Amino acid sequence: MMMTESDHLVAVYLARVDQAAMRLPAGRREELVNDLREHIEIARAELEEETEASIRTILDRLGDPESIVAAADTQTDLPRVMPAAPAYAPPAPVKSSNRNLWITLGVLAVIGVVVLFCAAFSLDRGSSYDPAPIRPEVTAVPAEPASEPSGN
Amino acid sequence: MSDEAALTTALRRGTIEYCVLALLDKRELYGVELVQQLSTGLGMTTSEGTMYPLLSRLRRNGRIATTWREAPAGPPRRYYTLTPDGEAALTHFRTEWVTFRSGVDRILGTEK
Repeated sequence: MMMTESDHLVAVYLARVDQAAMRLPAGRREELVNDLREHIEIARAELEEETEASIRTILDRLGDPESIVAAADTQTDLPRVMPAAPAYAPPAPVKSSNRNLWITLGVLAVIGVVVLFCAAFSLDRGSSYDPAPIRPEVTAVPAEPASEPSGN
Repeated sequence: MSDEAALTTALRRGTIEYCVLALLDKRELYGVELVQQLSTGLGMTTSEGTMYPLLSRLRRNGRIATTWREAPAGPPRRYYTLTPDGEAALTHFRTEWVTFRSGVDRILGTEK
């Protein structure tokens, strides 16, 4: 079938609506374009005589594609806004619990390092200032051999 | 949008959908008829297309329904009909509207 000038006008108009309707949810966009296509088909079928001018009148009465899409924007139900909010919220707790985990691990690592340092330092200090750890060893060694022979 | 246009848009918002229900309360209409009657009745003959998103929402909300019917000439027509929900909403709006309108008229001094 050959495309007439009228068909071309209609195709261009519907393409403009489709383009403007990109910001609508997919289902709404298709529905809008289909509703307008249906309207044009029927209005054309009802013309006594189809002329380019009469097609232009049909399209002019439908109105500017941008304002039709703007009307569709105001006709959205409340739930359309809702999915955005919960979709945003769940990732936050996951993220922050991950972050908390890392913070906890970091703090534990720092505490561990500090404890090790302290332990090493106090051992070091202990060995140089306090002879006690050495003395029992020294006294214990002679004490045992001394008591063993006496027990025998 | 000019202030004038913004005003009419604001006034129509919230009332046009009840005009749709009221037209369908008289008899079922197919898209082209319904949209032409609305736009002629409300003096907005260059924005018939803006009615389709409204019809789409009313259908989603269950206030109107559609049925296909063969036509004597041309393609089959999709007729819009009023549902029981739509009828109840229209009845409710009629009483609300009378109260609201008389309140505004009293304040504006446009009653009579």
